[in-house]
Amino acid sequence: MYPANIEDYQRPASLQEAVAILRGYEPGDAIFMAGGQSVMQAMKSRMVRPRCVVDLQAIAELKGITVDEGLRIGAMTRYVEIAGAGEISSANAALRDAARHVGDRQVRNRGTIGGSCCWNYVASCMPAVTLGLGAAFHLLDAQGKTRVVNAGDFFLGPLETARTDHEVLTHLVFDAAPRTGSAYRKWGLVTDALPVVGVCMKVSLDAAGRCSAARMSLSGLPAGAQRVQAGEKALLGSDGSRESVARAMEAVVDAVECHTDKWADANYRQQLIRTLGQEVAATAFARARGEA
Amino acid sequence: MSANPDNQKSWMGTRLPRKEDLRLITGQGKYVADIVLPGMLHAVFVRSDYAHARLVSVDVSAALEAPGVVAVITGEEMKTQCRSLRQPVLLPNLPAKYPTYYGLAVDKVKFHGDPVAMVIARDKYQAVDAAELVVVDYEELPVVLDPEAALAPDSPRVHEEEADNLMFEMTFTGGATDEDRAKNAAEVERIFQSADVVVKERFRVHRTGTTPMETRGVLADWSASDGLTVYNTTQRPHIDRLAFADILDIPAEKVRVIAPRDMGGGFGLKAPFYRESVVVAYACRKLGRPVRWIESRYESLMNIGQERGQINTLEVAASKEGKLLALRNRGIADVGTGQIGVYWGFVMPFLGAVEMPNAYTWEAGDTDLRVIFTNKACLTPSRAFGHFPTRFAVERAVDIVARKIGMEPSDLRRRNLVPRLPYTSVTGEYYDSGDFLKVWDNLMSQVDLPGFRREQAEARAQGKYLGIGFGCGVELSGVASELMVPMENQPGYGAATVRIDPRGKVFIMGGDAPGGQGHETTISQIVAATFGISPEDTIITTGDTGTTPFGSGTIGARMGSYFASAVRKACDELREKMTHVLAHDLGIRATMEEFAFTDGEIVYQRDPSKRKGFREIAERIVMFPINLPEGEVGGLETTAFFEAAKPMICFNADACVVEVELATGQFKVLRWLTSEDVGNVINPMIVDGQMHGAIVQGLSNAIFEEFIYNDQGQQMTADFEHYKLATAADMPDIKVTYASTPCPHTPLGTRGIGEGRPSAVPGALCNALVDALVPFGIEITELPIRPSVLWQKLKAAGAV
Repeated sequence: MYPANIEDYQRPASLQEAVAILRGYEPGDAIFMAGGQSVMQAMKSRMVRPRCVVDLQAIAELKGITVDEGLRIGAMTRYVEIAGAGEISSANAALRDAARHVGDRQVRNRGTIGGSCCWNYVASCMPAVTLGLGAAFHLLDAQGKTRVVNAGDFFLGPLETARTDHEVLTHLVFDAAPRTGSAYRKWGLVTDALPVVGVCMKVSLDAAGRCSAARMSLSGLPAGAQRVQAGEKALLGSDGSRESVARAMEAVVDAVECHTDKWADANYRQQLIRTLGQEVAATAFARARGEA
Repeated sequence: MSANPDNQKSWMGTRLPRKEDLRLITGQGKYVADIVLPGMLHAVFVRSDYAHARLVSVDVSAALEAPGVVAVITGEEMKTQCRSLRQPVLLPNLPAKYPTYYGLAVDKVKFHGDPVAMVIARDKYQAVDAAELVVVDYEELPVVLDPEAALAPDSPRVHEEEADNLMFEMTFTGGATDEDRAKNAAEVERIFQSADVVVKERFRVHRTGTTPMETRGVLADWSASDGLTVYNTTQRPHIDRLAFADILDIPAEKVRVIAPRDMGGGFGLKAPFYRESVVVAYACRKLGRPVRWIESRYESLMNIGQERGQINTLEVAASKEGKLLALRNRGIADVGTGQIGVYWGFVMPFLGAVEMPNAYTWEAGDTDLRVIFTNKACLTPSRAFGHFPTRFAVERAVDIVARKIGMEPSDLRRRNLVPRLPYTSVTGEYYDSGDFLKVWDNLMSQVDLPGFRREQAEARAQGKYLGIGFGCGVELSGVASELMVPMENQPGYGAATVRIDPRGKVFIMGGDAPGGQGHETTISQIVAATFGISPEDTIITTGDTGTTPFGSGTIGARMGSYFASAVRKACDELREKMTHVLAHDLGIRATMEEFAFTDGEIVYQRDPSKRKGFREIAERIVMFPINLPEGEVGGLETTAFFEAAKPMICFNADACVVEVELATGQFKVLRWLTSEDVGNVINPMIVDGQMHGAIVQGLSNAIFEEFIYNDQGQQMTADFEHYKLATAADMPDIKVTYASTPCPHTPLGTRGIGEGRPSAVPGALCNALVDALVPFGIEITELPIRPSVLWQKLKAAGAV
């Protein structure tokens, strides 16, 4: 577990400095380190061999949670901060659900939302949750140009995102619509393990308490974070009853391909999608109603 | 028995905080990776990417050119420059196919992770860089992975020089001759034919074991005058010393092995003699410079800690009244390559077969075992050595019998427990002492089974599924020579040197090598109790062959049984001498029994005004050996050896309560209750800790942990993302209680504990799960037991 030769380590204090460093390297030769909870292991196992490590920890403008029209979370905001963020409203409460159960205390104290999304590991929570919540990903490139990528376009597949090697993810923006609630829950073999399967759900309710808009996503499947529009559609009009949610989750099960491994076979993963779906629906509807 | 127990201020049985903990929890521990010698070089192994392949060529030229590289060692060099690991000192006295192998692979690689070359460089980074430049040309061979298929005549062979893949086979019942065994088998068959109840199941236990916090590490140093010194993460330095000498052809007196005082866990997997150690030692001699290798976690998970891995097809015959009559077992163990010194992978399943009958009074048995080579890492010892699978099978089978005849499994167990000891089991294992019924009744007195059954019925009515499960385990308390000599070619006795210095401090030297069990504390308590001094006044040295008497290692619960007893025996010899001199100085005629060692003084009890400080009398004997009683000489040091006449045991019984969620098969262990016979306890806190750790290990092994090979023999679980360990949050509340009987064969009545302890866990756990799901009639015969598996069973039974 010894990394290949790393020629340089930089700890820029501003975004400007960070992108300036990028300009000095061929794409891929400089790698950002956010919380380091994945990338350090990848370097130690020599899966990645950067010439330069650019540590983003000292850049204040990448950190923090602010609520304006929507919710803005800096890419370098740590799980521990998200887990305890009271300012995150019901619409995006799934972020808290996920952040509270990532790894262990040490991981939560270091790992960041931006790091997790940009790494996009197949068995991780933040990609699925940001996808389920429909986050907007704000990127800044080495020339100082910004662009915004929707979650649906950001995650391209395991370990792949729309972010280029010459871009830094600065922050994520989430809608915080009224009468909207979200929730996330995963299951792993041991407590707070990486998800064998995780389900994220976001529902908006009309005046009659019926689902008028829904988003749903899954973690843990081989394709990585995936949105399940068949489930979203099936949830429309639901009052959150077990029967209506069961129908929606059945649509999810039909729409996705589950795999078999030693922790769970495909049938069991489907069952987890059903049972976790009921749990997150109960929480998301309650949050949307302002009950939780 | 010891003299004057009443006169000793009782440090025995005290929850003394561990002396070693301050240094360990404040980062002051000194592990092998903390030892740095001048000019030290760093070694890295190049390991096989394939499970089975011919080594066409190993090209090290590019690696040799890499910056900082000093040498690259290959299998060919090891074969020509050193002897194989198949040395007599490392061979059990049991008939088996012992593969000839060297420090590095020669001609063929036989498992994924097999060491092919070792790169030595000035720093570790350079060594890892250069290891990537070693070019190995492999010619893939068909893999042997399924132990049963490996017995087919046309199966590829793991070791081509052998006729087949059958490493070892043995029948454990019926006597020494084929004729006797055939007669026994016929008798057992008659019992089965006429029995009211017969149960037959195929019980399969996966590969799992232990993963200590500290991986292996070896630092070897060479001196032309003094020879070889090896700092090694080992539980048995004295055997390692002889093995290094024989393999490297160095006179044994020129080899010193030091197991660092601080080791981050052993659990058995640091007990074998490993091939990597040979290559590191060879390299240091070749280069004349210290060489250190610290194993990575990847390497560790690929190479060591893998145990269990058995299939036991077990039949049990019983009467309808619940008397267990006979057991018949056909065991199969998947040993991997069989390439580790001392154990060769098969000694564990061998002992597992011996221990199979457990605490029950079988009238007859017919059990055998076949151990089969495959292209996997060799099994390494792991706490609950060999009998985690056999105990699982028996404890499950006993429950299945009970259900079949409509009896509470706990009642059936009690009815069949060996009522009086000593006792010799149907496989010939000797149970020296204790009271199984007392232990069992202590357990049941805390369970309230009728109350639980009511609670269970009420819960079921509300769709909540609770279950209770039981298990028990006879465990070895140390391993007596009578078993150690055939099994591991080593003695069983414990040895301790006790030296009292002129300042009245007591130095203990032991040849075993603990890995975190708290020997410094428990030994200090024994010494303090014996001499009436403070535990602070004892200093213990272990693991250094240069300064300690021979010990077979910190293995098999040898501490409370053998080492502690040797310490006590040696202390008693010095007490005799101290009181002899003191009586002489006081001008009285008195025996040792008439003196009390208390509060730092030695007091003549008939006249307490006649007394002297412990330190003063020590100084007088060591420093001023004049006017001594006739026949005495100065000095206060002795070495004592302890061996009981017969093997010894300890015993435990467990109960656990689980809750299962039907919709997902997910389950929670709500409570774990134990009843233990550990003999007299030196430090209850440390014993509690052993039991907690053992139960956690048992649960983690049974539910979460699994070494997985894919169908090409690739090891898929070489990191902790995939080799899943239980966390604290996954564990139940554990309540440990005691119903001990002092061991009559040790001077302090102590028993060695902790080694076999996890073995009762998987049976009790699965019995509870089955009990919870009785309405659906599911059975569990395979481990690991995971929610997904349970859910499939529930689904098949129509429960969901």
